[in-house]
Amino acid sequence: MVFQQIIAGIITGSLYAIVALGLVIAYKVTGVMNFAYGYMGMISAYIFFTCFSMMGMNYILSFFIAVTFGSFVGYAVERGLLRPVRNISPASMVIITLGLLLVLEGTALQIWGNNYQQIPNLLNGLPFILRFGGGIIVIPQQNILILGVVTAVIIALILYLNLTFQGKAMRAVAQNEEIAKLMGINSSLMMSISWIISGSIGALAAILVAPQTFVYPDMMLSLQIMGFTAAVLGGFESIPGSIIGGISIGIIENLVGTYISTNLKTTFSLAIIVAILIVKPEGLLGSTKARRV
Amino acid sequence: MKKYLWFIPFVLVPLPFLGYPFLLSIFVLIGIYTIAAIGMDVLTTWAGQISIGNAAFFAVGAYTSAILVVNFHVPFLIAFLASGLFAMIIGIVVGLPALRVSGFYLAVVTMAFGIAVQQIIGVFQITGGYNGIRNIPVPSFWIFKASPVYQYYIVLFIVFLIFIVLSRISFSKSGLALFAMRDSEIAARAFGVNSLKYKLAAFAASAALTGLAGSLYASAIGFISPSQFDLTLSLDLLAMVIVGGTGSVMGVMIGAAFFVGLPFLLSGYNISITIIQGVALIVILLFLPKGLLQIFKITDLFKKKVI
Amino acid sequence: MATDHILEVENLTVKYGPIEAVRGTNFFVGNQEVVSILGANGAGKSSTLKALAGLIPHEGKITFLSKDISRTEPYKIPYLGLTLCPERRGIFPDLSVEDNLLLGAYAIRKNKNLIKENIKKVYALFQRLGERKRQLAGTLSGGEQQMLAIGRALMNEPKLLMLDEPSLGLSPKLVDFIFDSLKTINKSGTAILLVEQNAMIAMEISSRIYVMQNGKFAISGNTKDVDFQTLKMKYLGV
Repeated sequence: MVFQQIIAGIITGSLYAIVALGLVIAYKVTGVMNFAYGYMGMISAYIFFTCFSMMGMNYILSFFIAVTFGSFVGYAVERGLLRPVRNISPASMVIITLGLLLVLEGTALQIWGNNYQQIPNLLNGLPFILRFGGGIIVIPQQNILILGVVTAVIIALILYLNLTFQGKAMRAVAQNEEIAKLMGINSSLMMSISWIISGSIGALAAILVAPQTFVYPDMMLSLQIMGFTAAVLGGFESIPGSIIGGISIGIIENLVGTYISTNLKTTFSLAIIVAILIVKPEGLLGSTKARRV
Repeated sequence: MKKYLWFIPFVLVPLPFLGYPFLLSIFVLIGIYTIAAIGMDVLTTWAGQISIGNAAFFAVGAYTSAILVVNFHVPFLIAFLASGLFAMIIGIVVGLPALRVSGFYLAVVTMAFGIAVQQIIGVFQITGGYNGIRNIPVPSFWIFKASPVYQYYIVLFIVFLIFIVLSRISFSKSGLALFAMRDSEIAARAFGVNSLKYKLAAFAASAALTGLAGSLYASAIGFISPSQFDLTLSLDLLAMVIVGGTGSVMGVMIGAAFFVGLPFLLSGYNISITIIQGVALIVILLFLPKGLLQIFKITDLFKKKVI
Repeated sequence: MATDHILEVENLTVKYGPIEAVRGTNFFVGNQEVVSILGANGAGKSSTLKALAGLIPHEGKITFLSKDISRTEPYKIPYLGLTLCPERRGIFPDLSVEDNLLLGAYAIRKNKNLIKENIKKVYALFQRLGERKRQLAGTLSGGEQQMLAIGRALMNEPKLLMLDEPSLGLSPKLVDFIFDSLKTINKSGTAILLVEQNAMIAMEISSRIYVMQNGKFAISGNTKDVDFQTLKMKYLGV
C-alpha cells in the first residue's frame, strides 16, 4: 500500500518536476518568474485536442504539432512581450506575466469555450502489476509513459546543459550575461532558446496530464502551483533541486491523500512545504547567495 | 478638511438611479471591491509586497459573516466586525512565516495559500462544502429596508471611514516607517525600523480590509461558494490596484469600477472579458505607471506609488 | 591610417547620463605592442575598455584590423580577434575551470583540435589551472581566478588582448607572476592593451603608456621618456 502510493507519488511528482524545470530554466537565463507558465502549456493542450480530437490527426503528429506550438509560444512571449521591458522591476514583471495569464485564459475561453474536453491516454493496455512479498503494485501504462517521457526530457536537458557547447554557453549567460558576451556568446539568442525549451516542456507537461485533468482553461492551475512550489523547495536556481523538489512533493501529496485526507491533500502538502521553507528558507538545494532578484 | 471634499459627489451618485436597483447594486459591488482593493493597495504601496492570494481573505470574511448571520443569527454589524477580525488573525498566522520571504517568493506562497483556503472551504460541513451558503439575509435595521440604496450608503460610509484612517496612518510616524522600509529595507533597518513588524502590520491590515469587503460581499450577493474565491479573484484584486493607480483610494476605486463595470458593459458582446482585463493590466503597467488615475489627472491622495 | 596599427581609436566618448566618463580620447595600439592606460580610480580607464568591447554605448570611431567596429554588437567582437579580460576576474563561478576555458573558445567552437591545443597551451602557461581543471571556478583562490580569466581570454587566440586591472587584489608575488605571463603572451605575438592602477608594474612591460585623468589623456608617450616620479605625484594621486 505504501509502495503503491510512493510509486504513484513519483509519477505525479515527475510532472511537478518538469514544470519546475521549465520555470527554472527560463528564470535562470532571463530572470523572469513566469506566472503564466501553466497557461502557456494549456494552450498547447488545446492545440493537441484540436489536432487529435477535432481534426482526426494521429496521436504522434498531434503531439509534435502541439509541442512545437508550445516552443513557439515560449519564443513569442519572451521576444515579443518580456524582452522589450527587461529592465522593469521584478514586481512589475510578475504582474506582466499575471496579465499574460489572464490573456491566455481568456483566449482559450474565446476559442474553445469552457467545456471540459477529453484527451485519451496514448497507452490504454492492461496495467503493469508488480508482485513482491505479500503486496502488489499496479501501474497503468499511461503512467509508465509519463515517467518515461519525463525521465527522457530530464536526461536530455541535463546532457544538453552539461555536455554541449551551447548548453554551457547558456549556463554562462545565466551566471553573468555581460561576461558571456565577452566570450562571443549571443546572449539574446540563448535567452530565446531557454524560453523555447521552457515553452516546449510546458506543452509536454500539459499534454501528458490532460487525460487526467481534462482540457479546460484552468487545467494547469494546480500543476503550475505545485511546479512553483517544487522549484521554490529546490531553491529555484537548481536543476537537481527542482527534480528532487517535484518528486518529494508528489510523494508527500499521495501519502497525505491516502492517510490523512483526500480532499485536503493540496492544503496539507502546501503546509508541509511552507514548514520546510521556514526551517530552510533557501530551499533544499538552494544557495544562500544573494538571489537574482 | 479639503481632502475630504471629493467624497461629496459620491453621496449624490445614487439619486438619478433610484428607479434602477440593478445599476445601484453594481455601484454597491464597485464599493465592496474598492474596499478589498484598498486592502491589496495597503500591501503593495505601503509594504512593497505582492499577494496573489487575497481572494482567501475575501473568502474568510464572506464565510465568517455568512455563517454567523445564517447559523447563529448574529446581528450583521457584529458579524461584519468579526469577519474583519478573523481575516486579520488568519493574516497574522499566515504572514508570520510567509513574510520571511519576499518578492515573488511571497507571491508563490500567497498563491498557494489562496488555493489551500479555497480547498478547505470546499471540505467542511459548516461552510456548505462545494455548494456553499445560500439565502444570506441582507442586513436591515432602523428606518432602512434592505434596498440597494441603503447598501450603497453603508458601503460608501465604510470606504470613507477607511479613507480617513488610512490617510491618518499614512502621515504618522508608523506610516513613514512603512514607506522607508518599502523604499529600502536595509536603510530602514539602519534607522531601527523593525521591517518584519511593519510588513506584518501591512499584511494584517490588508487581510482585515479584504475580510470586511468579503463580509459585505456575502450579504450583498446573498450566495457564496468556493468557486467564487479563485485565483482569478486574487488576480483581479491586484489588477484593480495596478489598473486604477496605486496609492490612492480614488485610483483603486477607478480600478474596481473598471473590473466590475466592464463585464456588464460588454455582456451583450461575444468578447472574453479576461482578455481585455489581461491586456489592460499589461498595457497600463507599461505605459501608464500611475494607472488610469493618470488619465483623469487626479493627484495622489497618499504618497507616491511603488511598482 | 598606418597599417601597423592593429587598433585605432578616434574621439572616443562615453557618457553615463549627464556624466562624461571618457571625453574624446584618441589612441592606438601597434602590432604586437604592449600599451598601458594608467590613471587613478574613476579616471575612465575601465569605461574605455568596456566601450572597445562594445558593452557600453559610446561615440567616436574604433578601428580594429582596418575594420570599423564602433557599432559592432559585443558578442561579435571576440570573433574578430579582440578579447577583453574583464575587471575583478569575471569568471563563471558555477562552471568548472575547464568549462570556463572552453567558453573562452566559444568564438572558435567549430575547430575542436585548435581548442584542445589552446587548452594545452593555457595549462602550460598556468600549471595550477591544469591541476584544478575539474574544480568549480568559484572555489579557486584570487590569483588562480585571475589566471583563469587570462587563460580564458587567450583561448580564442586574440590578436589583441585587453586586460582590465589584472593586478587588483593580488599579492606582490602573484602580480609579478601574472605580469611575467603577460610578457610571455606578448612574445608569442599577441598585442596587449592594459588598464592598470599599478603604474610601476604596468610600465615594466609596456612600450608606450597613456595616463588618464578625468576622462582625458594627460600624458602619452614612450615609457622610457616618462619620469615615473612626476607621473606618480602629479597624475596618479599616490
